[in-house]
Amino acid sequence: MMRCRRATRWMVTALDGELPARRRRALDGHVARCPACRHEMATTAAVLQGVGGLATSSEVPGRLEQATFRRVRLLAAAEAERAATRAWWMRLRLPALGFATAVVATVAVGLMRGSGDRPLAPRPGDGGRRVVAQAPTKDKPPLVASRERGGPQATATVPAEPPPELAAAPELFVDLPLLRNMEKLEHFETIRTTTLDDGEEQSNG
Amino acid sequence: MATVHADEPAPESAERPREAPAESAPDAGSGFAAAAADPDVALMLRCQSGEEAAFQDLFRKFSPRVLQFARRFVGSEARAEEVTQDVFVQVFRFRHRYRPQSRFSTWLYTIATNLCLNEVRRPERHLRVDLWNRRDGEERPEGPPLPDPAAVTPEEGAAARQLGQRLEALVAELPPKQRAALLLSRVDGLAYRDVAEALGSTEGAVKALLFRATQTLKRGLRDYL
Amino acid sequence: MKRLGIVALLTAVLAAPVVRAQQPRPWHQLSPDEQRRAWENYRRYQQLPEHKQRSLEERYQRFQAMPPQDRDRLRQNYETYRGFDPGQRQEFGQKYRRWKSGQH
Repeated sequence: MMRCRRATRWMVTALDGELPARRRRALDGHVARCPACRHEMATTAAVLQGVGGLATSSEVPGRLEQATFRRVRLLAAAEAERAATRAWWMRLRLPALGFATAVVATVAVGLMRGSGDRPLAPRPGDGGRRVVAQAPTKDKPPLVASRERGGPQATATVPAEPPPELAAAPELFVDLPLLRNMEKLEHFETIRTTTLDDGEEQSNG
Repeated sequence: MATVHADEPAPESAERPREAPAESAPDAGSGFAAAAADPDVALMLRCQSGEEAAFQDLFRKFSPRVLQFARRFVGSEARAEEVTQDVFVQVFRFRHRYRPQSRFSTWLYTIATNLCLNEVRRPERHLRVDLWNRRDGEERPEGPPLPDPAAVTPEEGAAARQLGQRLEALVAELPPKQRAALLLSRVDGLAYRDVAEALGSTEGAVKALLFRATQTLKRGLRDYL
Repeated sequence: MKRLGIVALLTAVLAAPVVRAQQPRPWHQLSPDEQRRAWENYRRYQQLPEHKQRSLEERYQRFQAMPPQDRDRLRQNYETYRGFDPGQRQEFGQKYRRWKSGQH
């Protein structure tokens, strides 16, 4: 037997058409038997109907449309400029990359010939730095250098040109750990002063 | 001047008119399937490709609704317009984040809700109710009064207008998340799961918000019911 | 005295916090350390599921819209949070869950 309290809680959901069929039948059955809930249902329906009758849209002034389009055009232009700068940088790097590759290949061949065709292998513990040449993809910009495990630290792994997502909102990523804990930080003092049950309290440190 | 979108007709029953439920959309495993089912998705995909006209079409279609939504959260007409502009700039800036598996309007209202809730948290915000308290004789081209199609006499029409204004004022006084849930659900016709997505919440939480909001409105409208 | 009052009023008005959110800094204005952190966090962010990425973006929008003093307060709280030892962090987590359960 449904209680009025539960019936009342289900009314809005039912009137919004979101109550599962089984529960809707139970509610309808209760409302049919309970005059108070019948009145409550009618009142709720009237209120929701009133809310549904509120204006859904507003006339948009021409200045708002023009201002928005202008701002978006500027944004698009800025994105295009960043893309063009990246393209120019890549055009400069690729020939230099080709030259560097040729030099390395020449040196490697010379070393192999000089050492009696012994294959060149990294010596143990030789965590030397190497320049990684990567063809840029949409998601992965070229790295300046990569870090070898156990070896000396590379000078930088940060790309010379950040990818678009990173460039569009760099501070999002600077503050990412803060954002991940944002709710806790917003209510920090309140949470710190929240009382736990005796059994849950842990001693500090 | 953007095209005015006519208000949806008042429903005969209390059951709200809703956007087509998400379940009825074809399996949007690809953007093309979703675009075929939903013209707004198609526009958004074109916007992602860089078509300025597609963005403008989306703006013209949805800005009247977003502006009305924003007006119920901010303290001035000017600020409502600024928020509306910010919403669509965010739509453009983060256009590559949109996935066609999700309804475009849900994504749009997620952005709008976030920006409007930010507004409420500003210390400079003003009371919302003064947006609806007009001086006598002042022309109001938009917003309430709530017309009563059944009103026959001037007295009935005036009573309906008074009720509409009272309702707007009560909605404006609701806690922001309750207000957002109620407007998204009942005024903008989003399904509960889309409201939950827009609020970054769960369906259960949405139901709780709507229940509390409705109880508050009922108490405030006791004299009218 | 009256002039002093007007000057004080003008100063207060001009020094009032900007209503619109401050514009975030572009990449080249970040310090090398900030750029390194941003890059590392960006790589972690890329591994997150879509809905979590979106949630973080929404929080970022909200954070940027806050007055500067609120942002500073959150940063200070974050530094305090980072300084917790494991026991303090565990206790804070329990209190957070208790607080959260009382929110709905």
